[in-house]
Amino acid sequence: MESGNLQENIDLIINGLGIKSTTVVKRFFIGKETPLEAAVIYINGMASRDIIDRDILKPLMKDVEETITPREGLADYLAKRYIFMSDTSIEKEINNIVELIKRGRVAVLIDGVLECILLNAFHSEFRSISEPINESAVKGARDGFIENIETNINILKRRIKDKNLCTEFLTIGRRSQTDVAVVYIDDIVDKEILEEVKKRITAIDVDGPVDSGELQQYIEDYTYSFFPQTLTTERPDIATAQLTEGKIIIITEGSPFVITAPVVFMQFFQATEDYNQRTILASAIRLLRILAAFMVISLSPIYLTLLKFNAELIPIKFMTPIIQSRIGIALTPFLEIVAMEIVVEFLREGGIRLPSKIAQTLSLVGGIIIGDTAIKSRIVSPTTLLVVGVTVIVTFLIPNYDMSLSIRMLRFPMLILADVLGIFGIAIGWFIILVHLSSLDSFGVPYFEFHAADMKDTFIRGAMWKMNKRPEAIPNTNPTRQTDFRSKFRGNKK
Amino acid sequence: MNKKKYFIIIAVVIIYTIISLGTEKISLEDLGIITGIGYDMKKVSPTEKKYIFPFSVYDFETSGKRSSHISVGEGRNVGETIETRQKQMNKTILQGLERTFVIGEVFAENGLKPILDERARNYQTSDMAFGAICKGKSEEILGMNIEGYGSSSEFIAGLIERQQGYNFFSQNYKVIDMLVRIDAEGRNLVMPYIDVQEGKIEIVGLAIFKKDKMIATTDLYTAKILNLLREDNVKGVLSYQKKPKEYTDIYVTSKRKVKCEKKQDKYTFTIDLKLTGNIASNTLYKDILTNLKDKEEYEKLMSKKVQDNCNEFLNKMKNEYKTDCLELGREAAAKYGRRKGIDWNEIVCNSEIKVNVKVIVNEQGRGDFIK
Amino acid sequence: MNKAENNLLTNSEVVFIIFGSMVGVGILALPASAAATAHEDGWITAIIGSVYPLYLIGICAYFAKKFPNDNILVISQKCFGRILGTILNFILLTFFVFLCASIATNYTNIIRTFIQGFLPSYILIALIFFVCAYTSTKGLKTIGKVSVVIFFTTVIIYFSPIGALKSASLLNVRPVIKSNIKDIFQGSLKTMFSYSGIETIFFIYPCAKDKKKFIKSSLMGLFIAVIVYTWVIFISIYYLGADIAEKNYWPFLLVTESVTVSIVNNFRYIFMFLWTLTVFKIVSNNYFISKVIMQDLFKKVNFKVLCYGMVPIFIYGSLRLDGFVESGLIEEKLTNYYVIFILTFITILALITLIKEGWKR
Repeated sequence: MESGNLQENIDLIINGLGIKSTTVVKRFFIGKETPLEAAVIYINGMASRDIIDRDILKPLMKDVEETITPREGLADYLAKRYIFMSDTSIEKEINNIVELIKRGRVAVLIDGVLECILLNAFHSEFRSISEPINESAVKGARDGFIENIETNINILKRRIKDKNLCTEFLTIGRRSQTDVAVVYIDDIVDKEILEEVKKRITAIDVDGPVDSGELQQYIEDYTYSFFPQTLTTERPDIATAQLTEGKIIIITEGSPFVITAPVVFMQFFQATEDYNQRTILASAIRLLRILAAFMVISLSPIYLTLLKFNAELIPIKFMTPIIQSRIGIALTPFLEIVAMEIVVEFLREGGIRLPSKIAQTLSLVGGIIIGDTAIKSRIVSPTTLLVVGVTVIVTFLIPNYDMSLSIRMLRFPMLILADVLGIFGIAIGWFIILVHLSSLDSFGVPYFEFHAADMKDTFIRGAMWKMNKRPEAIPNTNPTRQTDFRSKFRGNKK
Repeated sequence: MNKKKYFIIIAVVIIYTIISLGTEKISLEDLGIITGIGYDMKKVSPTEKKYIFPFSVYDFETSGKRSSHISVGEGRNVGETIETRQKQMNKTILQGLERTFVIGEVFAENGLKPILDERARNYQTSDMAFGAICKGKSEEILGMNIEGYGSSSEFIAGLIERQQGYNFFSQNYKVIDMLVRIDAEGRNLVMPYIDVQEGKIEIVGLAIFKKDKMIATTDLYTAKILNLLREDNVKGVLSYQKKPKEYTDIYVTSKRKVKCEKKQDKYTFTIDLKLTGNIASNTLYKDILTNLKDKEEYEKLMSKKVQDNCNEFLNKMKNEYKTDCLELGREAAAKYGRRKGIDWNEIVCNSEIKVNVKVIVNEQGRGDFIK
Repeated sequence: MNKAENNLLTNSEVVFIIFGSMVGVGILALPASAAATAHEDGWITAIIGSVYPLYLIGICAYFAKKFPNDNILVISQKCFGRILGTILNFILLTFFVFLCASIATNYTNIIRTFIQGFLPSYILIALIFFVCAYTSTKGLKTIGKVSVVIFFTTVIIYFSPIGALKSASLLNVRPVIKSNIKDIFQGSLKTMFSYSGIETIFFIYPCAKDKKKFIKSSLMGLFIAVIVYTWVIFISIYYLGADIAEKNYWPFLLVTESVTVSIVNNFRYIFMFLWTLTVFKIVSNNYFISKVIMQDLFKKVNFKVLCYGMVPIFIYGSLRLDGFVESGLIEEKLTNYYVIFILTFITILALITLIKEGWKR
């Protein structure tokens, strides 16, 4: 602040906040003898009025017995003597004061003093911590991130109490000035990647409120690829697992989805429950998932190829029912499959926005009645419906929503290739997918690489107590995470 | 950047159209699925032969019933038969799902090479189809209507496949086996021989081939011994009958080992047969399983009986068939060298063949009723 | 983590690139030619024929010590001078183009015979080359990763006829080594040609991460290739008998069809699919190498333009080779010439380098 003039300072601050915004300015006197004017400034709704009244105004207005004169260090003295609050700070720079008031602090300005006291009386209405709707687990914690950045950071801090857990705050957006927190564990993370991430975030120059989904797209490398290069999650247990592997978490104010960077391909097939369940069970389920991914992309195209080009490869026992069901079907196999797929996509997309009361009825209508009547009116054949239906169910085995949608979308080009070129087309499709995956990288980390040391956790899930090293796919500076503790109670047996 | 994208999109669309214009599309319902193939030959005149190839094609109805009909193609060569057959069919032929192919006697006597060439070239055909030689014309057998089966080919395929486990038949009667055995040094082909008896299709024996021409057919009894001497690890029933009401049967699995010796130009083959199994039924020996003497007596008598049968067959083979239908030449070739221009049929028939049979009872069943 | 370091090839990638550059289309037809010359000892020829790649690896080890960061183009220019070196490099380029083209035509032949009778061959060939051009634009590291993945997913097709072991017998393979030594030797010459592709090693050793283990990795790749080839020939002769194996054009396929999988009527489908992926990989390998050579010759042209621009050349080359009968004869002759050329070329390079070292002292 330039001068100690109260009115001037108040005007400066209100200018910074916006003249027509809901700022509250309360002037009051401090002290009994020669009353010193002061003012409390806050944004309506962001601070708890009770706390302001009780812990700031009351002591300053009523309890100051001594004479107060404007002098160096007065703000500090008052904060230490009379204000009954724990979170206080002293600030001189007008810009910083304005920024902090925007974030819910209360400012106390004193006439004639160049500093101002900033107090945290933040109180706002937020959603309570509840289970995330899209990512639920049978055997896992039921809390999820909410829209408030402080709470989210606290959830993480409660789970990892390491002193190396660092949080850095950045701001993006010209008008929205959205807070973004970059969280990482200092002695595990790779510093180069950290610098890269921070560089990209600070380089963003847009207007408006940035949701985490938008942030994802701003910082990723390959916009036109099918595959996501960052992982979003609503679950704190997944986020903390990422942190301990050396990844960086980006939390955005106003969004319950946190972003993880960098990622590798196999991560999208790992779910929390994998680690909470027993080894053999978890391995089997993981293999199932990988099979599911393969099936989603290939099942319909292979079915199409068999029907259309290579009918001699269908065993005779399948052939009979297929032919019998296909007599009199109006559409060609390709159009049948595409039509059914599009109907299923309609159902899925429409079902997202349905009010829950209609959802049940509609799913009944969609699934059973449409399917049944389509067969009866000879538009599709039962076998096709079976194939498409199985594919749909199988899609949702993939834990991450982004990835499952990507894989679904991959099916359509594959279908077209299969229709035109038969099995050769499917081979081309798979080869191009492989090549594309192999050439992707997420912030410089190769996306699709298999390290021999990571095999314990890729296609199967090895025993938890054997995973002594962090995965090599993500560069980190501290490879050991566990030691062989079983020998303490099992002696030499393994 | 924009121009490049448009260019790519237009290029892709053009390529797509070009490619899809070039492809012919046949929908599944218009395919005539073949379930069985027959090969017949008719001698029109001493110099002219006519090939008759009946195909058994499935008919599908929405009600779920499956039936078949025969489409015949005739011609002077294989190519002609294809075209004459198509003139009566409203569907395109699809091979690859056939279960059997049946070869008529006349055709078999003339040589199987034309079939093999056609089968080996055609990419659609299934190498796993079972084959059989039939008495008379294959058209009749393929055209028979059998209750419960869509076409007789299904029945025949099952018939041939299920012979393994009885009469010492093996499963080596598929196209791939035919391909491998004809023309290979020291190897020889035999095929099941079927006929219609009392309205039912039955296996009546084996057809023996010399190179690719059929030279003889046997009855089931001879076929059994032939199989026993020829194949390894096959199963069948042997019985020793002293009187009409006293007999003991044993169900055995065979183990066959062949040894070959050559002294100057004379070859000696020794076939060691070890037959182990369990007693199927027993009315002859009272204490066959508890009394060691009875068991050994039975084993000895049974072995001798089988050995006599084998030697009887060997004589027949040397004098009547004059072919190495036991594939002994293969053993000799493996030991003494190949590609020497040796005619194994002649050598084997002029060589000494010894058979050693040993029958061992090693399983007992639930209990003995006759005591 | 060094990003530049990330672009070098790891050991396993080296192994599988080497493996992949040799084992491709030839594997299906190999048993036929081996059985025709060496009869039931055909499988031994695969082992003997590996002398050729071993020799090349040996020389490459020598080059790796002397010129650890230069690929063979640079070396040839150093030894022969710029003009002669460039001409020789150009001949090398034609070799790779020929290899690509012959693989593509062979593959198209096979797949049109068995599965895709309806697509005209030029479309298949054009598509193969477009896809491989796309792959080449992504660089060597991508090719390495793809090689690793494809190896593991497709190795089962080579070992699938293990079931055939049961129903055949050793009689087909005996007597062992009784055939004429001359026959075996002739057979080995034929098998030797199927190892061509090993020349890739001269281009990738500058790009390997761990130069000390490079030779070991390439030997490993060669070893796996030898095992696969020997096994394939062995099982074909074992199951079919040498007499039949020489009659069928692609005996190995005949053997794989004896494997029955319950869902698909014919194992052929799965086999063709996986094998198509392998073919893509090997064509991409060779395509990439050709591109590297081209780039060396025309240093100014943009990377990607070069990749796509070369496609028409390849398509033309393949179409000229099309037609099963003619291509067989031309290929044999050309392969003979090329192998001799490469042997002499590399040997002379090694000798010159040796002499130059001697002079320096």
